[in-house]
Amino acid sequence: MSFFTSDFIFGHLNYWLFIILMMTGLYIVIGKGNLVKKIVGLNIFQTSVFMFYISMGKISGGTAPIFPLNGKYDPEVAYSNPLPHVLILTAIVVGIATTSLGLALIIRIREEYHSIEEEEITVIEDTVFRSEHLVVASQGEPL
Amino acid sequence: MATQTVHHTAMTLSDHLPILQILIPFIAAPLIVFIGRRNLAWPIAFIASTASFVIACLLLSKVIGGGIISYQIGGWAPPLGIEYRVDAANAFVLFLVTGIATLVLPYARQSVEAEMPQRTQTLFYALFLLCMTGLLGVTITADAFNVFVFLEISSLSTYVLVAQGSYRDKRALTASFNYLIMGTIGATFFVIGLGFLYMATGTLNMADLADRLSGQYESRTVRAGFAFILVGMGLKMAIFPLHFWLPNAYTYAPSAVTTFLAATATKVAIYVLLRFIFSVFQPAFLAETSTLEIHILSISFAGHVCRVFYSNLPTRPKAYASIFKHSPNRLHAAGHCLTFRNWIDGYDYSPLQPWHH
Repeated sequence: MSFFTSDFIFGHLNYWLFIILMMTGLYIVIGKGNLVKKIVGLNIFQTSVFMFYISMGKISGGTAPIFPLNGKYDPEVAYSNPLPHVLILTAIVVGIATTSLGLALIIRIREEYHSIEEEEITVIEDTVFRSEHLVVASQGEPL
Repeated sequence: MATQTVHHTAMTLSDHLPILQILIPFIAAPLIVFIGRRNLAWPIAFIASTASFVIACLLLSKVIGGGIISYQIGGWAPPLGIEYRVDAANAFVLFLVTGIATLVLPYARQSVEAEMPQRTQTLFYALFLLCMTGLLGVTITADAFNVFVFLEISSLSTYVLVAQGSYRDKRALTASFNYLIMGTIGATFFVIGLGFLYMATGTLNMADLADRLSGQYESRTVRAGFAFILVGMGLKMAIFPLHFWLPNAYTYAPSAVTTFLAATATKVAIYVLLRFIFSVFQPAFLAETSTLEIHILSISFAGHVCRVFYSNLPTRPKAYASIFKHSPNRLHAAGHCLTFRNWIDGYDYSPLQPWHH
């Protein structure tokens, strides 16, 4: 198949890394029952997007986009695009806020449920749910 | 289209209304935290939200006849600088968000005192204002990346607000955690979509994006970007197959929070999707790629059906039981799905349409 040439594989290396990291992260979020692991997965998922953006700003042969102080810049020089880096700086801050909030919620969940495993929490919630409904049903029964 | 340069010299206060709309709740929120007095928190929040409401009314009255207010942050002309753009569609959403907040706050005082311990009550009002800031920012901005930033400001404060229900029912914590996971995945998908659009066009200003995208509807990059934005915002607005976080979050949140969020948060997400479908992408794009939406919706619908069958196993009856128990929420989510299909089918763009249910 001419599709999978070495050019196709190595020319898109940043995309492959992005896809592998993104899928790893999403798998951990969905597949793992431990809430802390879910947060770690979410972090990997977000990091993949950071890498995607930053690799997008790189121009082959491009240098750091610093404007010379004397104002005489060489039009021949290629500069990398700084904007994706700046955008990702904001996204990293958002990611940190999300992580810390997620971990804080896990602490509160552990205080209330004494567990951070999704399976165990679901069992506890089922019990609460059933008991609520049994109470409602028995109150509604005509004597 | 977006490159008219208007210099900001000698502006009056009324010219600064678009930024004041965001700044008033944004500054009032930390003010409440710094003052830190419980008896002052509610009055500050109420004054800030009333002021925002007045500004939203003024903005709406200016643009209701079809005018557009373009506000350039720091005097940097778009598309380089960040632009706030008010037109009849988003002025109405601003009016709605600030109006609902002002209506909810007087009632929230009783609800907060009854449902929360004293130490968190002050912070509750700060978070409420931050959430409102985020929602207003999402609505007013004309910069696509700014939408993401404000979306996350509102979402992060929403997760905390939902978790405040834990003093009444501990299930609010898990509901908030699930909402955090789903909301972050949604926002990240949205950012991936923006990345693709930025790769194709090199701009983030919405009007400029629309200009530069108009010749590229065949490009796979643009189509992938659209698909990511669609799914990302779909998660945020709890569109029918992606709505799993919504019933629990709205059930166990404090009642004032549910009232505010149910009327605003998902509606603002709908507005963003509308803005992307009808302003950034033209309806012509949808006509060309109508198969795309049908595929996405049918795949996600299939996923939904699978989950219903799986959930009949005894391990997970609760999630679905709660959806069926709180049928208004279910109808709410189904309503989103129906209105969404109407937009896709008829390209019928009326700013009033999302509010009819």
